[in-house]
Amino acid sequence: MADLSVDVGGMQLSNPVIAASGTFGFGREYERLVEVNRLGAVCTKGITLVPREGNPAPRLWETSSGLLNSIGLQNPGVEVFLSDVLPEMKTRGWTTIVNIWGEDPTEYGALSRRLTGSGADALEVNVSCPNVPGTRLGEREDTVRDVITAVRDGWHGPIWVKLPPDAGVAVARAAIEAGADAIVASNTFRGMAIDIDRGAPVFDRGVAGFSGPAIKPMALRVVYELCGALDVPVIGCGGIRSWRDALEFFLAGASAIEVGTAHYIDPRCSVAIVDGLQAYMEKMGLGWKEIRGKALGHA
Amino acid sequence: MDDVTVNADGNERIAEAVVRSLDWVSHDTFLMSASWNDQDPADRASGVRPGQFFLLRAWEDEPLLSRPMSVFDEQRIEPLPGDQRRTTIEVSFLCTVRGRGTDLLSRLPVGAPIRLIGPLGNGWPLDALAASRRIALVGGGCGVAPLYPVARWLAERSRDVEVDGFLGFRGEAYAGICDRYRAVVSELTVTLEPDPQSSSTSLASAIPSAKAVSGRVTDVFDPAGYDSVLACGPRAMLAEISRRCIRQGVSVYVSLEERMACGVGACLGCAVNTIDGVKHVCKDGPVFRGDQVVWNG
Repeated sequence: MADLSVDVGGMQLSNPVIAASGTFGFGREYERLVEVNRLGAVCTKGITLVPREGNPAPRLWETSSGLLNSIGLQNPGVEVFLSDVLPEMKTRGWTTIVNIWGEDPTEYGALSRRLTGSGADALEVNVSCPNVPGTRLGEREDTVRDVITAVRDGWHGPIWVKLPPDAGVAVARAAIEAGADAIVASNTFRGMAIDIDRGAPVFDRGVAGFSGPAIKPMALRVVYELCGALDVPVIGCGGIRSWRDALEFFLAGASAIEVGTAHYIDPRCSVAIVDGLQAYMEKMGLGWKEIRGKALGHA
Repeated sequence: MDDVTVNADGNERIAEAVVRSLDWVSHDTFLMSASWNDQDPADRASGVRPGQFFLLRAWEDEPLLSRPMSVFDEQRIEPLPGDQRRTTIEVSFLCTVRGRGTDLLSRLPVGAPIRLIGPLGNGWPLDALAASRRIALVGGGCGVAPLYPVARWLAERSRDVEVDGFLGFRGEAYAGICDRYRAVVSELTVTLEPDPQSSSTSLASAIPSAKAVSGRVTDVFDPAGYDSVLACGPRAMLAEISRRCIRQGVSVYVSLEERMACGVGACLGCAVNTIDGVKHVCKDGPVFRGDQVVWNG
């Protein structure tokens, strides 16, 4: 059996395939359809200090090979998450990455302190949600630095920072200097749709997050650029549908990948990617050392 | 949502099924059945409850999302004692062609593979219905689908309950479907709203044994005298039916539709505003109490 285990900034995963935040709930929702324990980790829906109701309907819009969403960080809040949700995830033995979102660095700091000692295996700091008011804190070096500094102050485990796709190398470096152990690239692209009957945007907020197979080439380009410039692990995310897609991200230098919207095409998609990578690496006699970053330096 | 139980069965599965039949019931609506051999019958004893739905998919990547469809009917074919074969489960769906997904479904030949995920969501509140003496089922268009299994369930289990059906159509009534209803309800009223876009058949000739009325189902339906009303159809129709029931103190349950991605409560996409906050059609519904839904929001 090929060894699929990876080290992501000092954190060991049995394999590098992770269910992406927001598309997989808390894992429990899918457990009757999917062998969740075969995934490297599950990343939770974004958690905030207080419960959030999210945005009004409609929240979804299908496009060619893609999906626009405007969920708006609906979640039960950190207290309910800690009492009712996280213990169930840990009981099942899932490596659990908790995605957190705050309005300002203070909120991120409070969340990270609250999650200390909770059993969360890593924090994914979401500074890139396109579906809530205000600017994305992950757009600028100074705001990212303030957020990660606050999280690092309250939390001593692994910190991943999930950036907007257009953040760029300088913002990623700022996050790393402030204490981030890994970069997740990327969150959804900002897109929109217009209802031709009403002559108005489909979503109340106009802009929504665009994901799915349509964004894979763009997400891959972001990962390739970051991996060529940074010396911390990059977790690739965006449009991954198959093990071949995943392999492209590893060849571009990613240490792990997140699978999101593809779960709506087939809930078993991420587990199939684990199987596909396993079979490929066995057949080719390759390990991560030979694969990771092999395509870097060609452009 | 006190008396609408939350997905208690937990018996959803991914079934690799095969299309068994596809019959057009009007110019744009068809009844499709699909069956599969259940892999794990001992664990999945409870089957499909009336009002539950499946996600349907008969294509690879496009369209991206599977299509949620309420179950019209379910049949379980148990193997004979000593027979090693699995239980065969056949479910049918009433689908109106609206876009690419339903168009692809409509073109499936008998024998084509189709992936079904389900049963999902909660059904109609059967416990609450057990105490009702007079029940009205009000459906509009392909929204008549989820009312059929509950009509069948009531007909098979309760002798002293009166169940009346009110089915509304536009342009063309689904004659074959109305016939199926007639066999399981006490009295059937069918309404037909003329649609200048389509050539409509004569209502009386299409549904000879039903009370046939020209117009909309909301023109004729009065909740007075019913203990419970179950409704499914266009949102405006459901809002109007709910308003009338609430005014007359009649319990009303509605089966709602929303754009949906995961079907299992993970993505939180299919939001519906209720007086108890945001709920989700896939996990908390599709059946909601009509007096809990915020109809203008």
